[in-house]
Amino acid sequence: MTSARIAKAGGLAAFFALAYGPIVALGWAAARFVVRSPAAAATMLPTMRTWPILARSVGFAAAVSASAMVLGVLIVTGLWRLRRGAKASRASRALWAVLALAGVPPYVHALAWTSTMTAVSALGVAGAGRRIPFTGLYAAGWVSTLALLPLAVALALVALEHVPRTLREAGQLERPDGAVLRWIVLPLAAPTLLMGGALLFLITVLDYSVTSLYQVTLYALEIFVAFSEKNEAAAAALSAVPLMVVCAVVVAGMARLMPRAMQAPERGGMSPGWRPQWPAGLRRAQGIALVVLAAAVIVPFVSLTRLAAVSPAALETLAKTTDEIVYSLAVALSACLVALPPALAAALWLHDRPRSSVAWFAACLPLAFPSSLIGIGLITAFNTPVMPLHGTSAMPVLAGVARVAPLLALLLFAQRSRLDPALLDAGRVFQTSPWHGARRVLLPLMLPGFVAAAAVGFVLTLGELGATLIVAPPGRATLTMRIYTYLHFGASDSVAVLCLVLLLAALAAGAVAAAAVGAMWGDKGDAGVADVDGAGAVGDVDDAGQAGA
Amino acid sequence: MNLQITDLTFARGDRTILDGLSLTVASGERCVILGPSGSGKTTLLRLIAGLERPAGGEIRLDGTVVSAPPPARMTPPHARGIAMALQFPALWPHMTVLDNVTFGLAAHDRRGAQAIGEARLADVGLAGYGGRYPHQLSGGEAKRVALARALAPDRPLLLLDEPLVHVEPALRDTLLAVIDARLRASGATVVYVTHDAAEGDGVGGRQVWMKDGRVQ
Repeated sequence: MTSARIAKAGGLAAFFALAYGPIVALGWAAARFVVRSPAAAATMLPTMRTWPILARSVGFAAAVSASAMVLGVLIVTGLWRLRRGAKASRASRALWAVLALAGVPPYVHALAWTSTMTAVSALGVAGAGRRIPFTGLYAAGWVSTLALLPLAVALALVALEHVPRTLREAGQLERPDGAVLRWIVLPLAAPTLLMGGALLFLITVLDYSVTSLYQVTLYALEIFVAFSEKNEAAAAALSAVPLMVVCAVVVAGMARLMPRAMQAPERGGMSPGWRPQWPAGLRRAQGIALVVLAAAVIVPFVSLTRLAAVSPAALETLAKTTDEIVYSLAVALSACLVALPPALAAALWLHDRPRSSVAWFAACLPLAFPSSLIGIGLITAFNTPVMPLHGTSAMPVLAGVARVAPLLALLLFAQRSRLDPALLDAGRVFQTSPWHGARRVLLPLMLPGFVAAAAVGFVLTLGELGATLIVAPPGRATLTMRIYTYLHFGASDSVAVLCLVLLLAALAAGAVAAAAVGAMWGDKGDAGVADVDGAGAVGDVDDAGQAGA
Repeated sequence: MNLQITDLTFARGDRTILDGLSLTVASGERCVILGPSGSGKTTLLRLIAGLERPAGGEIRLDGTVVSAPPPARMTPPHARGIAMALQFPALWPHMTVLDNVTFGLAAHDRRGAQAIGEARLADVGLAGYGGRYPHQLSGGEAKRVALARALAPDRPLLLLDEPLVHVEPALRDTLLAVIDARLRASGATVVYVTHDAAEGDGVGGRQVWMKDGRVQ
């Protein structure tokens, strides 16, 4: 076995150990608990009290993810009308910038929207002395949808803009643009759109940070409460089983879609000068979706800046939380650096077996683990004399790694699958060793993927709450923990200052990720050649000017 | 349908692909465009189809301007009364072969569209292939389906971009005969792009030589 193969195998083992380790440790503890107390096995089943909570969680997540994806599709197709000639590529890149907002934690949106609604109520919009009701399931749904919207737009952009251009154009010759969208573009984009919707579903169903602020109890919070009440990891693990089964089913669906959704797209999915003529009803819906996107972008900035600006103690708050800010940045940076090599190994492993649903399921299943359960699992694994990491700063880093490694693997796989095989074949011919080829050809070609993955890992760990809240060492707190604690005392100007710091850090990292992802997936304008499949749909090769790629 | 192209210019970045090209094709005429790779043949067809917008000049169909530089309004491809076989088959992988061929027959009821689609498939030697999916076809069969799709709607202007490339030589004469029969039946105008002079002779009609974005 060559050293390169050993490194790949080691990286893959590290990926599975980091992603599955906490849950395996917890599963082992739960199994021993059930052996000691067989009656405890019954807690794996939902009770009369938890059934409605589970149903509400699934319904809520389904509604939020579907709404976000529909809005994303409307926004992307609506913006296609703005494309004109040479500005098309720039317009596409500008749309990728929306992805930068995906790193803003949802509870920051919650604070912004709550304070905005309070301010609007103060203007007397709802009548003198009356407040606009902004609480409960609908408020939580609105905020969650808007928090997910940037990610939904990015997923819709990937799905829709990589429908092979020639297939769309062949339809345009026959039918109006609305029919082409309905019968050709959407069906061809469906696997990626469904996969995106499933990803948003998992994010929503496993997150309790927004819903708990609006007094809506979801199942993910139940797990945290179960652990907090008894401090019994095994009981918390058993109570999480129903939610994990739901999530595993969704992941299994994703694993079936992945091979089709993640296949290398034909480049040049968009025609530079194409300006579709949509039906009037669709145009109205797109207009509404664009207004919602504008609100999702503008409201957090305006609201938090307004709150922070009126705060007499803004600078004092910043000074008091310098430790938390520095600690958060250090944890996030460490987590993404630790997660990258194993994620790369997993990405290369998936690339070697792109049509294996089992491999995809194994790589994606950690996305179905509730964050609080990962935290509890880490304590179970490392609160031992053998590996006494509990109580150290390694724990929040490991929590971040366990949370983001699967996503980073998917991003790196996406970049790997987009590499021109001819370039890699040439590398294999001329390399002096596999390491030489990897170092001089493969890794430099994957650089945009590394930058994107690092930035995504950084920003997700920066906003991570569920696991960090459980494993943070005594006396240390991350910025998100401080914000979340403050939020439960009521929205204040101090929280707004901290949220602004988090927002700016997330935006900076998100901008780096958006630029890198845009370089990976973005509209290549007039570069238009690639074989698709046996059907042989490709771009134009007669004219050298169009052959581009 | 009468096609009139006047002083057509098209560039991609700094590269000029069509440079003041003018061409008239009378109603019912067959015009074969020959030329080497990179001469702008495919771009010309894409401009006629409305898939690209010219930087200068104009294209008229039956006297109506359908393509001109901004701010003029472009007539969308499906509203031009054209059918086109793209250089590559571009079959929609989620549709059956028959669904691909009948996609442009929205004006017909389902049964009528299916009958036309099956007839066109039989014309190109693919009777019984309607239920297959594109991935179940060979490259040559996919080209024949694309040709059947272009012939199915009986549009007054037919644009054919290298329709017989990748088709077995033994079948070429048969397919040329199919195209000829359909054109005689419909009286459609044809612009046929090929780099093969012998194939151009088989199509008949007027031959035009393109080089460096101009008609020679």
